[in-house]
Amino acid sequence: MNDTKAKKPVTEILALLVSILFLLGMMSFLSPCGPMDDGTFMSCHRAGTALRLLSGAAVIVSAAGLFRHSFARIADILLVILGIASIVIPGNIIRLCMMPEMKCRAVMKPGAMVFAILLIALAVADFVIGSKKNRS
Amino acid sequence: MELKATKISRQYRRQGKGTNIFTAVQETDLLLSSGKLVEIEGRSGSGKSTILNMMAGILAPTTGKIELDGQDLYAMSDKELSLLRNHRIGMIPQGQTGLRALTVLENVLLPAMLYPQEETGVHKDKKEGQKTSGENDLTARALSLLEQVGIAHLKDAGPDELSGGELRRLAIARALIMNPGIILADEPTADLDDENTRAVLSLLRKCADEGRAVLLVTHERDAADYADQIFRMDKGVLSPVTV
Amino acid sequence: MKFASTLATKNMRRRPVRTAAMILLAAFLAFSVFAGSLIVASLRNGLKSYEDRLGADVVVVPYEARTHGQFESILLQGIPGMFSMSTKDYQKVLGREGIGAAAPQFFLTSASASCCSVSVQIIGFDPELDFTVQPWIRESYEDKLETGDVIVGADLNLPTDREVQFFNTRCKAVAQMEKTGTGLDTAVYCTMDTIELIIRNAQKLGFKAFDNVNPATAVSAVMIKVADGYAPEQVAGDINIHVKHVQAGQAANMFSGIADGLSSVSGIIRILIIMIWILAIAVLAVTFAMISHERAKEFAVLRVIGASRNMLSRLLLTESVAISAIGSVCGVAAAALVILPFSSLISTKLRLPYLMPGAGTIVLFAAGSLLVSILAGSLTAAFSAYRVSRQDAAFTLREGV
Repeated sequence: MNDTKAKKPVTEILALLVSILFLLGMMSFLSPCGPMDDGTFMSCHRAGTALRLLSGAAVIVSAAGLFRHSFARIADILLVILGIASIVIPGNIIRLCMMPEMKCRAVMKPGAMVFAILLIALAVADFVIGSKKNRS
Repeated sequence: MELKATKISRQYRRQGKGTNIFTAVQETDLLLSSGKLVEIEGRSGSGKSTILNMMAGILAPTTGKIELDGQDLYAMSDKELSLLRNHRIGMIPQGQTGLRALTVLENVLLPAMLYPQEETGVHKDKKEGQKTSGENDLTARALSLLEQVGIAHLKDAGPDELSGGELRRLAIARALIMNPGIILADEPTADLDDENTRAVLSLLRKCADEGRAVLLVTHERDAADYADQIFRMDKGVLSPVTV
Repeated sequence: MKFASTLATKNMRRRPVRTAAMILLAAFLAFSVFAGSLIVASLRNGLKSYEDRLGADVVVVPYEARTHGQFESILLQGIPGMFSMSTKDYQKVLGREGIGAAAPQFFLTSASASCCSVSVQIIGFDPELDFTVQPWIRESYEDKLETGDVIVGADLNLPTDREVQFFNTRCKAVAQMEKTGTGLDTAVYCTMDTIELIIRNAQKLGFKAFDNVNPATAVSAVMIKVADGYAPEQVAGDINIHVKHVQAGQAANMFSGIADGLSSVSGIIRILIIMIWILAIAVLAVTFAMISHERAKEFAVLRVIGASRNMLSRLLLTESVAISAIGSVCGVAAAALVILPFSSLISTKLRLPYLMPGAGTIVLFAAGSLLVSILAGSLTAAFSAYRVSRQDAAFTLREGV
């Protein structure tokens, strides 16, 4: 069966959209603070970089899963892993700022968590629906 | 098996000046018996559909009663009458009557979906040699009916994709799915070409020959050739026509 | 029942855009009530917490600190502030009548936290005299606080080694407080000995703010418990008359101001919820009326083939329950995704004490919101379902030719 001609599942299209929004968000309204007066970065800068990489990877993986049907199930698993990483890394593996009103804690971390949860939910739904279709 | 109407009439209350009672059907009797095709002909608005609807159990007569094997239809509760209608009466209503959300096959199966098999306490008009419809046989039966009416190839299509004639045939197949003893057809050949008209009338004749009681309401002149008994409806008055 | 759910599902799938729009409306119902009730409950919790944490009947601060709202800003919003009263004024306050217990506190702001450019509020207390801070420090730490030990508020992110530095003074965070929902969640607590050490180091570093501060006797605020037989109003009034350069205020007056703020916010939220509900329910009801009209002939056909009146109304109600259920789940999930992760941001923007309820309460709110939204959404089809069940099938079939 020609991968590109099959009807695209809504979950895969939504996963790609969410990934793109996540990446765009990390490059704009979700990004942590810029450099301090002395030119150095706060500890959250690395967390922001990590999230940008993770969201970029999510875009690539979800696009691959959408346009290559054979890769779809693997893409679902990878998206779950990327989502979990996006939740765990900021604040646990890479430290964020001390004060709760700092942008990294008030906006970046919760924003990343929301996108990650949506990605995980869509990936799981797509995996379940796709597996049922394959069995039938 | 007989469906008997005794001294039935139907009146409507209307708004407006003068007399506000409109009599759609004057007091009359009508008997449908197994193996007979009864035709009621007449112009539009003569009251023939009103008689059919009363016989079908969906329009209570103003006076009189309608009995199926001695059971007064309109003395039953709505649930009992609905169950009876589902199992013993197959109606082909006027117009295009497919449910748009369902495929042709699903439309035909629809009467069988209404009630779980356990609720079937109503005696079926089982003919000798015919099987009682069980869940597993229903789809096979539906497909067989679609074959008989000539639209089996459209089983997965939606009603929106069917022509007028094909929709009429869908309605006939649906009316037969529960193997009812009574068939009531309201203008089944309206908007059909000659070939389809003949096909539908032949099918109804076949239903009567198989032992069902068939009532055909139509203004189709050719229908008389298929009927055992003909009535004429004119301004609410039902009169027999001598052939 | 299976027929109703099967047919309802197929009808919903047939018009996916309309179904999606109706689900969205149902989602608004659930979102508004869940998010609204969570925010109001958090504000109420925050107010109660604020009341509990203050602990005193009367609070005395330097006159400028009170008039500029610095003290309230520290408590409510965690905006760091620093002010002090003279030792002479402090002694005068202690000498007034009606004081049962008096606990001095010193408020100090650091130049920066160890990682970033914002300053941190440091609050010093005298362990011998204190009755407001220690009771709830003991919830997290029971040992004696040594010089250099600090206890940090719940919202402060500690480094791995738990060492923080203020004006070159190395301090060890020995415990972290429970969340209060007030500005004190971003404060650091220590004894007056530690405060003295920090001030001396700050003075050595040349920070002008500390030029006129005596490290050994620095006092920013006096927390007073009134003696038996005296009223807080009486004691505060007496201090205001006899001690210049300070302002004594009743703790109760601070609460009433915040309670008013909470009432306003709660009132606005309630109005928003009502407006959303009226609009969503009206549109859903009209849509179901349109659906029942559009499918009148189909309902008549169902009557003809043996559907009872109850079955017809059940068919429409099944659709409305399905749409409401799906929408409500989506709405509650969306509200959870917005309110829970962003609670810190909401708290900052509202500028009021804000303390999220516990997990059990949140689950109860979610369940309640689901129930209420599903019920309301389902009932929008009730009138149409009744009309469908009463329709004259014969008339409809004839009319539809």
